[in-house]
Amino acid sequence: MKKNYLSILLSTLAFAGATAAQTDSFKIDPAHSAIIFEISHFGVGHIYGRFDTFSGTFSVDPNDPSKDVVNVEIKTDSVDTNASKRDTDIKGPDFFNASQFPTATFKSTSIKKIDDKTLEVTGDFTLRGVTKPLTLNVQAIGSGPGPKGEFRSGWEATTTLKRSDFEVKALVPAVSDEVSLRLAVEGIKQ
Amino acid sequence: MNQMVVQSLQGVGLPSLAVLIASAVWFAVFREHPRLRAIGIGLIFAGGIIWAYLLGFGGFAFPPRESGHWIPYIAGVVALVGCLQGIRLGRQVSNLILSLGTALIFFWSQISGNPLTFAWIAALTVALFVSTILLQQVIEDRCSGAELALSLALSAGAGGIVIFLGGSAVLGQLSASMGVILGVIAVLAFFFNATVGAILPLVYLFIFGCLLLSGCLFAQLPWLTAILLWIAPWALVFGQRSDRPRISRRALSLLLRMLGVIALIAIAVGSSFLLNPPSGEM
Repeated sequence: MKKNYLSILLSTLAFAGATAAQTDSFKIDPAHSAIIFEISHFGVGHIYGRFDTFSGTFSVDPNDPSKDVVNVEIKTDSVDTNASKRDTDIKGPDFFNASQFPTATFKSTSIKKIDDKTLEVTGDFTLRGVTKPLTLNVQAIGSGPGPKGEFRSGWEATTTLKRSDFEVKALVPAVSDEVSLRLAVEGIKQ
Repeated sequence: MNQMVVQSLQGVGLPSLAVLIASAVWFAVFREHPRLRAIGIGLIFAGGIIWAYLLGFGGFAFPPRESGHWIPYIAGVVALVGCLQGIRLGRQVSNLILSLGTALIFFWSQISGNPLTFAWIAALTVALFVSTILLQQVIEDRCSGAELALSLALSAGAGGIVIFLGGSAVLGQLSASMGVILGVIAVLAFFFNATVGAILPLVYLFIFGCLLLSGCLFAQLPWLTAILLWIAPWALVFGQRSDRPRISRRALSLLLRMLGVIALIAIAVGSSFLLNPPSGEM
């Protein structure tokens, strides 16, 4: 059954027995979440990769989505493109420089409700020590009790960024400047 | 030709061409003035590195946030200090300050959380300082300009290959650019039968040191390979310079003196292939 943003929030409230004014906090469950990216290779095909290690929290205010908060931290040395030598190169000084910049972070600064299922989350994205604003288009997927009775809330966010904005310029344009990001997260209510 | 190859050729070729023209004019004009020749060649070399950096990295970062960002600034400062060494600055003291400054830049800001930071800073300071004495004084005194520049060119060029294999195309390209630029200067020094002075090896030491260290710490360059490349020009400590007027005699002497350097570089490159086998994925 498809649930809209309102119904997800209502079910969140019902499960928690919270008042309408309460903000619910969720911790991202990495085992049921994914952060993947897509990048063009020589204009011929697309390479897909993922980050295996990340963490984060988000909070949901049912009355006022603008008060919601999203924080995500990604370990840059956990990148996996299904080619170990390439992964080593991506972790190296030409791309993420993971030794010097071990994390990439996203911290929301404003959230706007677009419709019942969609939010526009703007925040500061930091990669390789460079911080720039980034906007995520976020879709509510669903919410409800998990296998152990814990309450879960699921969301999926997409965005496109220019890696050169973050000083990751190597091999542009052979390997495209534009990178598509998708974050599919399940949060467990705290 | 694909875009990557074109970009790499531009990154290496354009600065080298500029250095060829500028150095040829400088060698010709200041053939009889060793001090002015050394200052000019040192500044042209540093300028070539800075342009190669600009083409490879796509711009300067200010303030620098990571080790690679410091390279053009280090090149400029070292070249200027090198020029002043010939006039009034004490060479040993200024070299020690440059060595310590580079070590601090590299380690204090980049891996300050590491408990071994102070040991790294001390080790790099000593390695750079000892190298400046060896290369800038002992070896420079015993080499013709062509011998010195060619040995540095071979090390930097091989450095480009192994750093590229170690996972950094950008740092590898910069090292290769430095190798070609030094090769150009070596050819000119050979035909003009002139020395290149003590500023050029000083700039080489600090920039190549930064490249090798970045390759080891942040990419997959094996330490053994880096150390062998670092010490390869030290093979020139054996033998004496050849300034014979006849080109054929000088060429023979040049080749003989390069044997030790080439042997060390060959071992370095071989060790890189053994310790870090290449892969074509990207």
